[in-house]
Amino acid sequence: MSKTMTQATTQATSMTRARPWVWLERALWLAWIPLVLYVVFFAPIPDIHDGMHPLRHSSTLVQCH
Amino acid sequence: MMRWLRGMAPLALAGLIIVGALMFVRWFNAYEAPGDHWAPAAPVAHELARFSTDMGTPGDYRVQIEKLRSKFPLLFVEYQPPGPVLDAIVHSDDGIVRLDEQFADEGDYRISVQHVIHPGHREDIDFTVQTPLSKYFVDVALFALLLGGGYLSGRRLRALSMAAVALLLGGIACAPAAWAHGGHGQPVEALSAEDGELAIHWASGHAPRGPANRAPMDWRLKVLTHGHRVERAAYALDFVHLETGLPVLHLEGVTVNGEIPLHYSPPDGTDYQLFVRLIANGREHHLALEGAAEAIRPTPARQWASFLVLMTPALIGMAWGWKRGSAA
Repeated sequence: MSKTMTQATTQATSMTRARPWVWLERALWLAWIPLVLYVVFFAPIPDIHDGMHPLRHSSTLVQCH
Repeated sequence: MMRWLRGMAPLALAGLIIVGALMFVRWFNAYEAPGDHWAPAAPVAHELARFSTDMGTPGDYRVQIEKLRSKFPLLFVEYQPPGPVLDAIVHSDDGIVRLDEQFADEGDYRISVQHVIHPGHREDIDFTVQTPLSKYFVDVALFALLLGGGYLSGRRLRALSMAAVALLLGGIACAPAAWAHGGHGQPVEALSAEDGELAIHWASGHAPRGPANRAPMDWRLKVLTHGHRVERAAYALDFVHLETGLPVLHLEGVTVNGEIPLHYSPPDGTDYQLFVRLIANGREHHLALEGAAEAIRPTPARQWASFLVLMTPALIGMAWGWKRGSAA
């Protein structure tokens, strides 16, 4: 039992230490899909926009031009 | 009794799949098989479809195409809003009126064929333009990818014991701005083209201008020889999409008051060439003029709608992954 306690304490300590990283990871897991969608379909970056031209035209969901 | 019902389940399943397969084949065939007036029976968007109707008597026929309804616009982007698409005159020597046309997008349309001299001699034909199968495929693939991505995120977030709900996320992608394609919509200089003693000019005096997929643009041409209009010259017109080199409209007619009448909303915002083969004075002439239609840009509302539709499977996946719990 004490072994489990120690493990838990160690884990909690490392969690506290790594807090900014934990939050960053959470934020990234939340944001990566909307970010990818934005960059691929909506971002006004000419190279990406022109590169993704056929993809927009081959879906019924996103308007091109 | 229940047991007997459960025992029959495989048979019911087999029957369902057989009926489903038959219905799928029927639906699939609609993309290929010719109908009474169009080939294929329901034209496919972005592909050239051929039209014919037997009007009985030779002569000049006014042909108008109008879009009546768009297919569910949230899921099927509406490039062409309901309204007129084409207004032209087709000449028929055998009583059959023909033309080829490519449609910008799916929906319900009506084509009207009307004798120029006897307006009562008229036919209205309603038809549906279908979505290309490849588009359904891409949509389903996108949906599956986003569902999978959302699932992965949901599981990882649960593993990180995240308290917030992912639904807030829609706001992250701030106001998406549209970007126009470069090089399109430039004014085209040439106002006329010549072949021997025959010349064509834009009848309006300037190159056509305006947005694609909106009110039909004025593409009328006047046909001149030594400054005089050429009456009743037989022509074949190809409306060529210059990026692909393929026609999006083909029709045949006879000049009316020395003009080739054509009001048309082309299916794409880009450069076009009107390629005309004309027979006058016993000789065939080849003439071409270029014009451009401006690409229409998506509105912020349209982009938000698309974004939210795409986020839906991702959020469902996230909730699912969250519920399934941590992989760790």
